[in-house]
Amino acid sequence: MNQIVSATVPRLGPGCRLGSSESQKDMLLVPEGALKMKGPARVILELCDGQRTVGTIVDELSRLFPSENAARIESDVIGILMRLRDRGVVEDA
Amino acid sequence: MKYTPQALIAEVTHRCPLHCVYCSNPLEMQHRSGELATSDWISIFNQAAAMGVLQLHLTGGEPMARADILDLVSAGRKADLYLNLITSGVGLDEARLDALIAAGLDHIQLSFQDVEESEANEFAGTRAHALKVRLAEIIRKRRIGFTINIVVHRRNLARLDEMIGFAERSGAQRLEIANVQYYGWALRNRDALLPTRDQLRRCVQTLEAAQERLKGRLRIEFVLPDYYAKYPKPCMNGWGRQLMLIDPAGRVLPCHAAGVIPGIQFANVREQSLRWIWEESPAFARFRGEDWMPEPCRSCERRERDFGGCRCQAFLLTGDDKATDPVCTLAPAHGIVEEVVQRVNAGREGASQSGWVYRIDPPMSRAAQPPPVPAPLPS
Ligand code: SF4
Ligand code: SF4
Repeated sequence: MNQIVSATVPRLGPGCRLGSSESQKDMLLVPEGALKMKGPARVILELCDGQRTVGTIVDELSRLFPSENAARIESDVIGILMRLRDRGVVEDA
Repeated sequence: MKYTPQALIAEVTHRCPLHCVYCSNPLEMQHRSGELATSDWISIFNQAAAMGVLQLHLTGGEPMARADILDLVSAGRKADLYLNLITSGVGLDEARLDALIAAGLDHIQLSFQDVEESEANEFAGTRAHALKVRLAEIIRKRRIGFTINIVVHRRNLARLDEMIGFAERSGAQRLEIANVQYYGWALRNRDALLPTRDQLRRCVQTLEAAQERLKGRLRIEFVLPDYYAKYPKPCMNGWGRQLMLIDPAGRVLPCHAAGVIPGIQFANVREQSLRWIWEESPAFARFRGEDWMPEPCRSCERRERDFGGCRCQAFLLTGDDKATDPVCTLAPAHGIVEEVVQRVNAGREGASQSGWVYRIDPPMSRAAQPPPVPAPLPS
């Protein structure tokens, strides 16, 4: 599979969505069940709307977490998205 | 210990246009007149969501046989549940699919009996295969979760490669290769359905290679026939731990086969709240924890992982619902399973055309009437 790069536009795969009620806030609902989204994963996934590029997502996160190093944020985002794409719950739009 | 239910399996009807030779539904089925009303189901979905349930699987029978299926989907989605429809495809067309998606359907699981039309129709006792193939074409054009489920057994495992190829081209994100589980109707046809050891070995190799090759494109899941496993599967992740099933008449069960165990009173949502049934009813408490376990499970280190196996299978094979699941190689009654496995492996592979028995069910509603059942093919 191709690499995820700054220009990649990620979105949730078909049949995958973030939980909609307060109690499901940290859940990614998928056909197999639910994946608990720890830490920044939830914020990242919310930004994966099929419009924003990875670059844009990183910029927005850098603004949200100004104390973090931007290069570090980028590698975290790409790492998380690669893992979720391997699991089939994220795809390139 | 408090358990939170994760998923609700709603068997909204037992009516089904197919007559599968391995149907796992109970032999005694609910007729239409006894089915829960729309408002009952809506109340159930709301109660379930309040208890922490995340997923709702609408199944049957054939759920599309319910005239109110759209209302059920939108009520489930309004209750914030993830909505999965498990269907044979009969009763679904482009317009109804779009309506379901508009009502909030998240995912559709389409079941196939085979990739070979004549064989598929034979296993299902109905000519439904061509329709399913057309339907897959329609589903792939929409953005909705799509899983293809193919039930495998001795007579069709040789076509596993074609099945994977078909799923790959179909646009589905997931493929479930499910071996027949021997409850209900399938137990009657077990000797004609259980794969041989050789078939299974090849099949595992094929699947593992395909999983690697298709990573990120198609998720392949595989349920081994537990007759060949060393240890049993964790029964629905444990009796009354994560799942509940509601039958068409409102009885709440820990699993679809639990009704075979005599002497258990399953409470009904018409009389009791879902929360009481889950938390307090004796049926759900019956095999929670470890106090009920006999040896060797009681002192086995795997008891936390497989919970002593399947209670229904234990009962069906030994007559004792507390027995260690006989598929476990440590079970005192393992000889029962051993004997079946030996018998099946002694014959020539695929040779057993030994007659099987079709399932004939209560009549369907007119709208969902299937084409006439063909006579079984001459063997
Ligand atoms: S008891 Fe058996 S049939 Fe019932 S849930 Fe457990 S594994 Fe399934
Ligand atoms: S003895 Fe019981 S707990 Fe141990 S593996 Fe067998 S079924 Fe599981």
